[in-house]
Amino acid sequence: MVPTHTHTQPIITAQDLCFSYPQATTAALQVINFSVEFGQFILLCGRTGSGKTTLLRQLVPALRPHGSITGSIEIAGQTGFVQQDPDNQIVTDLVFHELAFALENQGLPTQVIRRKVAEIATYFGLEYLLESPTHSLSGGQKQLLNLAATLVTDPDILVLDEPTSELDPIAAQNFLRHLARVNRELGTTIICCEHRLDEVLSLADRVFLMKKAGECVHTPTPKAAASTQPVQTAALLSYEPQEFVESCAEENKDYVLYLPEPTQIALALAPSDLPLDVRTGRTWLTNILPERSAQRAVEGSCVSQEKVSDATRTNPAITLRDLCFRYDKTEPYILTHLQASFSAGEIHAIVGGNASGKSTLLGLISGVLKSQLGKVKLTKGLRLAALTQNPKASFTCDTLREDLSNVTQHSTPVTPHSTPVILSERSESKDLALDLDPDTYPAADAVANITQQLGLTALLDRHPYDLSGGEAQKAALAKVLLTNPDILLLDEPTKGLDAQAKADIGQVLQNLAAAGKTILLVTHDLPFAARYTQTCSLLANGEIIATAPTRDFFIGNSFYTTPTQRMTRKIIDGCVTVADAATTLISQKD
Amino acid sequence: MGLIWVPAAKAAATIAGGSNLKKQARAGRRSYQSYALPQRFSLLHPGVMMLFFVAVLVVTLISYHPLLLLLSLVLAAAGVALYLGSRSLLQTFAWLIPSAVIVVGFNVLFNRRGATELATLQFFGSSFTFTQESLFFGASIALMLAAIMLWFRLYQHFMTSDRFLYLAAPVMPTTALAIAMVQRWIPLTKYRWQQIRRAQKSLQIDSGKRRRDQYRALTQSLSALMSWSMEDAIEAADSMQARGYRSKKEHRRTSFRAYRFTSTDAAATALIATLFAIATVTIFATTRDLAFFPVFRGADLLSPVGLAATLALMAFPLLIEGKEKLTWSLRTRIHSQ
Amino acid sequence: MHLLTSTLLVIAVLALAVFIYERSRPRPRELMPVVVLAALAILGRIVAMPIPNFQPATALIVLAGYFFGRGAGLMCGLLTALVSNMVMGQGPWTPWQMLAWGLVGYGAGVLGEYVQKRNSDISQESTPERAAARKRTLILQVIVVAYGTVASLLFGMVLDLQFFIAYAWETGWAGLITTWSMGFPMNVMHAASTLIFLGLTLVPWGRKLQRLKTKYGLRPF
Repeated sequence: MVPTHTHTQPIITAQDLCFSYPQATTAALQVINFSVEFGQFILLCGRTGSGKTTLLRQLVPALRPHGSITGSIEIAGQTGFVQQDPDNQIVTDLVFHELAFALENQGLPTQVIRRKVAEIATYFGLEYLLESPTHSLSGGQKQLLNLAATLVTDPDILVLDEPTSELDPIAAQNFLRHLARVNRELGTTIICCEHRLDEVLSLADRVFLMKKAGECVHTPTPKAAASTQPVQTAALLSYEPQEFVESCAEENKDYVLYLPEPTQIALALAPSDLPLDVRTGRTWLTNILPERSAQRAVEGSCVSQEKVSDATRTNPAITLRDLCFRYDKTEPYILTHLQASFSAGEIHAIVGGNASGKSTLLGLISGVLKSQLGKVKLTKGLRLAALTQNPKASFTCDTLREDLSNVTQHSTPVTPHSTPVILSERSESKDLALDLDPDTYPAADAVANITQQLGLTALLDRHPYDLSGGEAQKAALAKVLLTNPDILLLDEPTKGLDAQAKADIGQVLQNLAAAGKTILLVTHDLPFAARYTQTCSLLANGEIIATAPTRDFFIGNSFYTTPTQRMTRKIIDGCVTVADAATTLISQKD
Repeated sequence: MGLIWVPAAKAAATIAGGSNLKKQARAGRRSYQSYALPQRFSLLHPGVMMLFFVAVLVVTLISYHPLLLLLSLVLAAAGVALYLGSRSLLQTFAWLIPSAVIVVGFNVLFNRRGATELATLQFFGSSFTFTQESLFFGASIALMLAAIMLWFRLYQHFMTSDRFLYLAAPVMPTTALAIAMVQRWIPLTKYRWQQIRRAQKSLQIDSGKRRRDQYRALTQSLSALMSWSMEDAIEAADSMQARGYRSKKEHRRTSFRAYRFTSTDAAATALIATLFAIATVTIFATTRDLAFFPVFRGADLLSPVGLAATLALMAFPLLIEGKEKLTWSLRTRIHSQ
Repeated sequence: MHLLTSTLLVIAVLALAVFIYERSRPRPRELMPVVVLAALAILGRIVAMPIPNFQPATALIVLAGYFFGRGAGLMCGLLTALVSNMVMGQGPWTPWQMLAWGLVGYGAGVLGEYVQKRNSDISQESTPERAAARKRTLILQVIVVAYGTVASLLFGMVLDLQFFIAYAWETGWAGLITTWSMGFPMNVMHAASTLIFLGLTLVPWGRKLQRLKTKYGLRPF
């Protein structure tokens, strides 16, 4: 869609919109100008704290926060709003109650409500769930229900605040597919804030990029100057998708990580005519490669396999023998005769579909659950700690500082032979760690040490629930690390995190593994597993079907693998991560 | 609630109700149409059901005639056995009998009216007289208690929360919504509690040997549960607001009616209402002169019409299930020929 | 008969309370704290079942009333009784429980408003230099806990009264006194549980609830 469609009516226009919360010193939104045309799909991007949620709430009249507002915002239509957490938005107990809720608020007669509920349920394929209690739905179904419950009043504009961040990748794709359908079939204008750009970028008509006040670009590039939006004072930049990805080569460099993998690969070579998904990525690849014969990859950033010596393989930290488990005697077994061993000093990933028993397996290893048959064996003397899926569950105090010192008070003191882990290469933290006498390792110093290494020092006095997703995950990790574990179990550590936060967590985990910790994580996030782990296991049908070094694991797959591997399969052999593909292509060019 | 029987009764009810809940959760659906048991009654409109339960309870509560109370008890027990199974009936009796014994004992011990002396106890110089009439009266009241409890057992089975809400929503929309929301928040709170305990366990916070530490960890988990629930509740409130709850426009909230009032329902309503009216009027008219003290009189004070109406009213579920059963058995016979 | 008339009376009072509540048209943000605390109270009541009459529900209802106003307290009491009985078994006691718990919450709301009028925040961490304020805070805390304890006792007595009216009214005063004295150990158990739970949660939970009240601008109603 070209922005010069002068005949189309804007449905939302914001002019010089500024907003600040009461008693706040700085404005939350600064001089925002934009217009959204009828039926457009707008993708809103920006860093944590750039005011995305504040802006989205300005678009929903019922939720407009109190504060001082200047400039104008005009909305020509009714707005629906879908938030992040699928669970918290459902207010009633049964699916049909939930679907009827908005209609009841409008005071519609029974017959109309009946029909509309039936209609929307059929449109989204929820009719077989109508009488189910809402708590029995899966996360994906819940979020779909939220979408349906919002759309049931037929709003003109749909505003979504990171709707897929709490969903696993398959449920997220399903949700976004429905969203695209709503946009295409019903012509509903959509404004979606999302950091999973892989799926959304190819759907979007325009990309709005929000920047913090200091982040603003003062020297407009030729490309941006040519666009219709003024750049010099705006905290919101409007791009076409292609224009946006190209801008990531220069002024928006720090957004590269957020782009779909095919785009990232292409961006490493030439910043023009970039592919936005796997399909266009494959076309692009065949175009730039002279001959179509399969090529070998040059090994890139994927974790090197050399470290995995036979010695450590024969000396596993965790051994699982013949595990069988079910939750109730009337239910089928979730795990059947599961065998596995995980060697020390490595990062292992367990991947698999929904309800394949990944979290159950972690529960068994950590001892929260007890298996009916079989045995979990940990190497003697190793301490184990686990991080639950929702970081909110880890916090019990009013500030992060209290929360962290709470752990050191309660856990057994650090034993003399265990040396503090050095998480980052920063010299000052190394000194801090080495200066400490392990016998008199005071709690406050431990907290200071860990928080500094994880970059949490500035957040110590915040309430844990006021942290962003990435910060909360790191804080929960800090809490677990304070118990000084040798084995670390993580359940979906990247859920709800943006690309930058994922990279941070990945780095922390690698440092931990380098310090000799054994890390076992279950995840749906294949690119993360490919980038940061040494071995991968596929859990399906109640047992571990395959275990292999990460690279081999993904190269063997065509479907259940990373976007890069899907893009390069049969064209270049052995590319699993973006860095693999980019290095290979660059070396070919030379 | 204080008396011994109440907790005992509650415990029994929980065991029964609890296992029911578990079954529901496992099935993932409301078990409001359980196909294995007779279900004609559950197809009625909730309003008709409610009318039925109100009618039988009122009739039971206004009748003192032991025969009527016995009738009510027997038919309620038959209903429980039919819809919930005889095991459930036995379970209910397991705590009903002690409760009934308490009621009888209470009346015998403290009610000294009545002419026929049963026994006299000399106790520290004062004499206590127990009478036959008070025993008989106590037994009647115990019958009433048992009948009420059994009718409530059936009520519990049929008036599921969605039926109750359906009836309540037009009258008290906000309260009905609050009830639905509480029901939504119970499993959610439970889930959060499990998550918090799991996280605390894996942090080894409460693994310390000291009781004090364990206790502290527990209270911290509890307050975390409260804070977490409250934070999420705000998001739910926003979601309600975004979907037009209590919007500026002064709409009166309507409610989605999942049930239709069919002609069968109309017929059932007419029948129940008529029987109820006849039963009430005749019970009032005839048992006014019923007296337990000083001597029981009025055993003959029971009009045949009133008795028949009460019988028909209370046997209503049995009758319609019987009709259904007959239809099916006829059909099977026709098909088999 | 007596049970019928008295229960109808109770239901009439409940209907009036619900009518007034409906008329006040609470905003979602006023509704939510009630729902959260009621859900906690119900779970607490169900979980504590094995110990007879030992349950945190009353303490939570007092907290709801004290921090979120009399309407919230009333509603929290009503909801707790009604919804927990949907799980644990309805009976002739349900309306009585609803009213009794509703009144406990309402009373806590009145107490809370009275305290707030005196402009003292009991959940405040006491500072050593202000010994007088500290003492006053402590006294107020004791008053709230004492209110909860007495209210629990009265709650039990109201339910015993329901038993008496239904099945033992012929026994007269002696019967009533015996009913209450028979129920007394159970009611003391209930009061003790409220004393313990309220004593433990009042200050730490109060602090958290105050933070939420200021953060989200929740008003008592």
